[in-house]
Amino acid sequence: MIRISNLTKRYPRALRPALDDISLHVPKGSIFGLLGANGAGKTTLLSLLAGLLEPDAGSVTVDGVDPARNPGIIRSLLGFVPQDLAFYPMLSVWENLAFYAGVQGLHGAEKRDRIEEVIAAVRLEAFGRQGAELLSGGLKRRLNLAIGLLGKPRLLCLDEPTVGIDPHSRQFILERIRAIRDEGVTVIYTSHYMDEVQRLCDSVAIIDEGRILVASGMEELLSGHAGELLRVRLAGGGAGACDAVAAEVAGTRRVGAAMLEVETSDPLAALAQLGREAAAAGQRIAGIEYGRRSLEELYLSLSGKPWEEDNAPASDER
Amino acid sequence: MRRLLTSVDKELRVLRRDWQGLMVLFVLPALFILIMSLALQGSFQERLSDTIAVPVVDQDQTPASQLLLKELRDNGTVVPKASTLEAAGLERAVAAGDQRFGIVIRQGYGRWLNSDGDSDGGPLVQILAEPAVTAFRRAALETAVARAVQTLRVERLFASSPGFGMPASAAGGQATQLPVAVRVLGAGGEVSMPNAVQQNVPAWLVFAMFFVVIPISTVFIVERQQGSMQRLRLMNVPPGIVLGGKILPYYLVNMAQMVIMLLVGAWLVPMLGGDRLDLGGSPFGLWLIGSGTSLAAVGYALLVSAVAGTTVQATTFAGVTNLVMGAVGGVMVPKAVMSPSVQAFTVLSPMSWGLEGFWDILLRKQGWTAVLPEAGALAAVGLVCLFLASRVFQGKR
Repeated sequence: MIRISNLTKRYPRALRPALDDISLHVPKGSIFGLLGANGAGKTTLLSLLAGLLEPDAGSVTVDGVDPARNPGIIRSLLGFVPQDLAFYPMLSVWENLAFYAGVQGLHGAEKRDRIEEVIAAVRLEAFGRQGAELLSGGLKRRLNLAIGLLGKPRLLCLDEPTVGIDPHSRQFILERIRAIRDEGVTVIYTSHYMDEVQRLCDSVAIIDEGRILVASGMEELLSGHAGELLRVRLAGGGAGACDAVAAEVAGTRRVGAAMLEVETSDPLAALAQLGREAAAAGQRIAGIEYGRRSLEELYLSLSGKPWEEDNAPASDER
Repeated sequence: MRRLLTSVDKELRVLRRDWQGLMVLFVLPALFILIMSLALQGSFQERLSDTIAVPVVDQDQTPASQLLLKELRDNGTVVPKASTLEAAGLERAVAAGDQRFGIVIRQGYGRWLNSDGDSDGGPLVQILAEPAVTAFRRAALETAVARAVQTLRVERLFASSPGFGMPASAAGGQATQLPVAVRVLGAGGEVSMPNAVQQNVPAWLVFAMFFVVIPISTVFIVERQQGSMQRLRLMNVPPGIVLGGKILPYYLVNMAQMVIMLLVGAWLVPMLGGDRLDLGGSPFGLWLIGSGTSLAAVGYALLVSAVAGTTVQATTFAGVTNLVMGAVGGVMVPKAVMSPSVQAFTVLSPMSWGLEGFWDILLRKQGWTAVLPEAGALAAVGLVCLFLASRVFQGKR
């Protein structure tokens, strides 16, 4: 569906490219997760896909069409759901949908049927006459999604579609997105919720400062990036005592005030050694975790920086 | 066309639910007209500017008429200037509003001045005034002319009857017996004197029409900030549909403002004891000048909305520029009482063009053709603003 080759984009007067020689492939009918801190280049990439920007170098094609040269064609395929609630709060749910359907050229019975379809798809049947400003946060997100579905898109770009809503509403939206994918729609999904991306996406790319750190199928990514991780929480000493234990066991590092982490394929042997060294340092093991790395841990390990929005680098991105 | 109608329909629904915004557009200007018209009923508290330059047609061409002009010049209030027009031409110029004042000295003035009797052929010195000139300034001019005529008459009588021969009527100096008269001219000849409401309603109406910038820019910028504009662009909705969808609803708002303000002047103000607004004889002319003003106001509002980054920027900038346009254009201070040097700047304000157009119908009683220049100029400003707004809007998308 989407092929991106050696794509580079730099904004005027920017210190570094917003996107620097990136290549990606997104199969049709899949959910593709796009991860990265603010300023990483996600919005620039979405803008290039929608034909809102032109690349400086490289190429982008969506279903074989160059978005920069044929923005009209691309936009007829595209449904876009921005992070902001891009509708009219003073209008009702139905009026909002009727407006967005009408300006896309739908009218009469076709318009009514399509509105009823998308209302049913996001389960807003009971709220058609309600003013959009009176909806709960979760219902507003559903309306935002429904507007993006009006044009029967074959490519759906979702920019943080679950931000700021309760877990129940989030779960509902994730289920709807899976259902949309199952209907053959290709979904580009950006989110700061790592667990959500891990559960939802078929493949993922992590972008950092305009470069792709990793791009792969989700399963391959999680299983292929080394192995299992043993985490041991110590009690009875401070950070200094933890560092002393870590220094005695190869490959071990301290994460947080009293947590040690080691990558190992033999967790029992590693645990025994850590137990011995802890006892020697006057500490004891208070808890353990063992298993595959999560997406967040993978991001931390690949980017070398914490997943904190506030710590995100200053951005030239628009 | 259906897409444009959808856009118009949305804008009308948004407007209908913003009752506070509508209140600002309808109720506040109506209240303002009511208060100002009642407060200024009868006369305007205004100052006389330094001098009044007045074109003069001297049909008498006698030493007596030359003496009158000299007397006026020496008096300092009036600066008479020989008009290049004939009397009828000057009357037409005043009726059309091209000249504020005029003086015609009729043949026979010199003979009357040198006689002992009253004039038997009507006013020999006619002061012409256009309706938009306030009563205070008309009175000032009339007093200055009457005083000059009276002075000359008394001097002549003293000269011809040194000491005792002066008739009592002339010595008493009653201005009512002087052959001096004021004519307020409109399209059909003489019209009645304008009242406070006829001056205030058009002024505050034009001012209120330009205030559509507040709701337009508020909705427009919120749409942009919330991502609706980007969403519409990604739905392949052209800028013409987005901008066009806002023009018709706010044009209708302006027309509603016009009807309400005129009705307030014609019915409500007199019901409360104030002067009645005479609506003139050309509803089509009112519609024309109202439409021109509306196009300029909506075009300007869309340009401000497209350029401004935030609602605060848009409303502050537009509010201040509207006040400046109103002040320069003669809304707050009637143009007629401005000093001549300041009056020259009123032409810079589109509000002044709208005001002149409304006065053509409401005060000067002219037909719809009289407002074509003002309505055309306002429409041109509106179209230029719309063109610039679409360019800026396209660029920002």
